[in-house]
Amino acid sequence: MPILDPKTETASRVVLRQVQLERLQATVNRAYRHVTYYRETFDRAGILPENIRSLDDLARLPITTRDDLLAHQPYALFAVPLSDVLRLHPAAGAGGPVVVGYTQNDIATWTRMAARSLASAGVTREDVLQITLDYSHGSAAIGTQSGAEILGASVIPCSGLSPERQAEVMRHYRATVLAATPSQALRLGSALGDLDPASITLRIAFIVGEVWSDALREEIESVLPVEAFGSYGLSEMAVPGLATECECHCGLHVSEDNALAEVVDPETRALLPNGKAGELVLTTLTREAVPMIRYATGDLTVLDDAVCACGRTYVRMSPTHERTDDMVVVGGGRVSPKQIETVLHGILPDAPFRIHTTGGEGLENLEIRVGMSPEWLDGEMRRVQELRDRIETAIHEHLGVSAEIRLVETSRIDRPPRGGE
Amino acid sequence: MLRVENLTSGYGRIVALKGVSLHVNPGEMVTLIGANGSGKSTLLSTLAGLIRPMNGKVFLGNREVTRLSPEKMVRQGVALVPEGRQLFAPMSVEDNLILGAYTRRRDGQSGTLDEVFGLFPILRERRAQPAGTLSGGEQQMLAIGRALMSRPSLLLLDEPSMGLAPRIAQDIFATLSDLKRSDTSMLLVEQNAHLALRAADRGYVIETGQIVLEGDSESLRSNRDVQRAYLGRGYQEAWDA
Repeated sequence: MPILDPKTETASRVVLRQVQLERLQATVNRAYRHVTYYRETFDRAGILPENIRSLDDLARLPITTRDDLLAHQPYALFAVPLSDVLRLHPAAGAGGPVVVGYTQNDIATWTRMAARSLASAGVTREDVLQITLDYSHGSAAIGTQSGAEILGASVIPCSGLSPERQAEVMRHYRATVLAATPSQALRLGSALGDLDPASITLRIAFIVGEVWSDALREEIESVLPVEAFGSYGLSEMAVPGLATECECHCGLHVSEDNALAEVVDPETRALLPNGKAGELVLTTLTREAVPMIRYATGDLTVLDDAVCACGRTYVRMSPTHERTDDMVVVGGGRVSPKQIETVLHGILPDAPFRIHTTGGEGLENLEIRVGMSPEWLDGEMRRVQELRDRIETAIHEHLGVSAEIRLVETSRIDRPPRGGE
Repeated sequence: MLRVENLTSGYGRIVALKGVSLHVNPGEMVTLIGANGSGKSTLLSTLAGLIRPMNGKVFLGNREVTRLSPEKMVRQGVALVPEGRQLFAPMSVEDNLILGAYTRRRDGQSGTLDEVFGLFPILRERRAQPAGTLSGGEQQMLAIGRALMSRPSLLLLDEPSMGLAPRIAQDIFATLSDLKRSDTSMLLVEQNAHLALRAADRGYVIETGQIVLEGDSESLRSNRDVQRAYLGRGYQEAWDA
């Protein structure tokens, strides 16, 4: 597959490390000067920006967690005035959304990262790209679209359609690339039914979402006539484009001129050598609006710096399908039980509930059973329907995931569901 | 070409540069933008060997050149065009140029002299004239020409537009762009961020001795901090007025 920016993507490690050091130092200098949070945490750790003299010194800086982001909402982590920010993307996740700002340069850089990712999956200007990612939540859909447009591909933005309608669009417009979450791709696959494979022009599935594995790729490739490429993004930084598979399918190349990847022990947060599994920690190198230094992603991975056959020199991370916390990953989004509780109890204070995920990896459905009194459930059918819709809408709006709500008798909440999980 | 790691430098007990890292690729023009006293000239003087760094490393290609003397840096292919030109005013234009080639054998000098005269035809016309009688623009051309006489692979330029009328400054920059096409790498320190960011491929922004931004010229031009601090509020190009 062609490499979009060969000079940077295949740069020697010496050149790359020099660029990384320069950008890390500039990022640290700016964060220290303009973001109180970083100045305070550096001061507490007794580190000045000029103490960061090599990439190894990065490990001396404190870790930033999702809780740190939440404690500084909405704009306290911005390193530029709000008037310099062109776009705000709320990033859903544990504890509620955090807002991520983008300057003009941030958008350009991110778009380039997304374009590189799509190019590494083989997307060209000849392709017709069908984007089924949800435009109303997160930045994945718009990022994929902008990246594809850089490559000159034709884009069909079409989120929110049923799998059957997606299949129609795909056939009608002769889409060649599907940009989707794993579950969307699998559902589209099952919606194709016994369609003549020769009539399907699709050749690439560009998979965006927080879960990826070889098994999932095989599953997608068994229901769609495609080569599937996994891509890693983080709504707090950039989706897609942070890391993407190349044609070798041997891990995801981290966009190392834009982000530094480390792996740490999830418990002690001590740095682990390449090859050891641990929590992925990312530091932005080119972010202007919201630089992030040593952000603990909660995703478990392994870094591999062995040379890749594709020619890219960027380190590869193994696909992430495990989390360090209790997050439930559904349909490309992720939520914690605590978040669900907050939303649900906002509507029904103290209502007991239980979370179930059904379907295999990548095809998870989120089902939430909410306990109600038998008397209430015996009431008007319309009332039950209305309450269910209200909760489903609230969960989608607040958490960015679709959930199926089932109102059941409270006595049934504590028992495992029929057929088990 | 040039690779600088964590350079810390200054005068006496004053630390003007605090861990600066940057690089210049072969054939690239890189600019360093910053306010007065931000450490720009200290950086160039340190790279030229005029100031010994307190810390950090400087590489040319794979060779470490961190504490070489100024004359050794010239022999390594690094030439400085100093701020304020620093010409020998009573000496002729030609003699000033020949001084720039003092590290080289005599036999190659006349060819290089012709090349410099090719780049700045006005200097050929004035070759016998004392340098002190030249106009500001001509003096700047002479200072650049003198540096080129050592056939540098890296040219360090300290405020080449200083004190020049806008049109003359643009002429100087046009010549620098020609030089870039002939594969001379350049590190340019400039107060006139407009000119610098239009001519250079990449840039670094330095504030109180530390690099706070780096990027290609286009992204620096669209950075609002750069616009506010160095391009001026609501800045206009000459032809916008």
